[in-house]
Amino acid sequence: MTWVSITTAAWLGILTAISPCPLASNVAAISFIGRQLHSKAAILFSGLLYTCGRTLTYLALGFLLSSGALASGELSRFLQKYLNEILGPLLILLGMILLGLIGAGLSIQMAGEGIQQKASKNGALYAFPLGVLFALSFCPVSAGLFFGALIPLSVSSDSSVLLPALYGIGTAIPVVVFAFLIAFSSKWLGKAFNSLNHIEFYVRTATGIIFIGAGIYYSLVHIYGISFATQ
Amino acid sequence: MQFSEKHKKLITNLLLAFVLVSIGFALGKHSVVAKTVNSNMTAASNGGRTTADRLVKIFYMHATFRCITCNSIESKAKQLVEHDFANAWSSKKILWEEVNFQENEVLAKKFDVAASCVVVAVVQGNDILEFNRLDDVWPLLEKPAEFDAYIRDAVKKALNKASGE
Repeated sequence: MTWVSITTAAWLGILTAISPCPLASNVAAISFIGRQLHSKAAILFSGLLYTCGRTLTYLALGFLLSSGALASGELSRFLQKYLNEILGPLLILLGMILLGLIGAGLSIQMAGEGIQQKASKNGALYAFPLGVLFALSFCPVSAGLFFGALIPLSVSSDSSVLLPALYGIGTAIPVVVFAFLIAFSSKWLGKAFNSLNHIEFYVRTATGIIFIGAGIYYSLVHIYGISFATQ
Repeated sequence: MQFSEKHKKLITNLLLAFVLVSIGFALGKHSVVAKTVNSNMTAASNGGRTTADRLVKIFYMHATFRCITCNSIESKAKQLVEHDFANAWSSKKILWEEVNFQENEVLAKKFDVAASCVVVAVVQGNDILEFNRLDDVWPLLEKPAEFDAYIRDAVKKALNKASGE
């Protein structure tokens, strides 16, 4: 394994993140990670968990594919066919939970508080499954770069762990950086106008709306087959 | 802006209805017996040539969801073939076909397609004699000269094989 393959793997990840096709899920992830304006540590923790979710997913897939346990073509076609269809309704439901439209009474019996309150308190923890979910939802660009470029590179470099992991980190870094930028600019705005609580409320609400918007978009495109010019 | 409880309930019900209808639509779509897609090339799609002719057929394999980058790969590859192999293109020794690999599972399996890509094949009648799947179109998209050379070489080799050289 050379430095060229190491930098190529990371670059392929960044290229995946900045390409237009995963834009909707990236915007949702940015708003989810960056919504905790009150604490830098919470944003950092959330960002790290999101990165871990993505990285571990690509690492597991990379290991299974490189070792020959799974067939690249069949796995890719399965994920592209079904995951993106599941993602739409799921994002809408998650957005509704974030907005408190549903879930307020679902877990009262179990823990004494609703899903939405839990999500607000322990929101950072949900960044991990979100990273896993978004990593598995391959769009044409991420499928092309991961299955068509990264996996052959991993096989030829005899690196079924490091290169997929670097690719995963590469896909998450732009998202986490943007989450920080947006969180701090929102916080600065809140302080400048002496209304941090209001800004926090709007950012939390915007996160729920973005999830619902992204969910409707995914449903229209992947379930109903409607195409948009900006894809 | 604060919503009243009535508005919240309305929005919640509309969104839940959309979710349920979408899930139902998706399940319905998959439960319909997959239509038999004629994976083999028809005489018409071979430009009406006789089955004895060996031709080069370039398949652009794409998913149902078409992205900007995928469309760009398709148009760049097609323009290159039309321009650099103008004679073979106009005499229909090179054919181009778009295939949705999520619908045409037979071809998707035959070419072992993992993502949108270009496949250059030598065909005779309805038979695919050999093929070359060009996965590197993705990483080479940022390098136009290498992308062009990659496609050009694959088509040249296929043309040579088709003409028996």
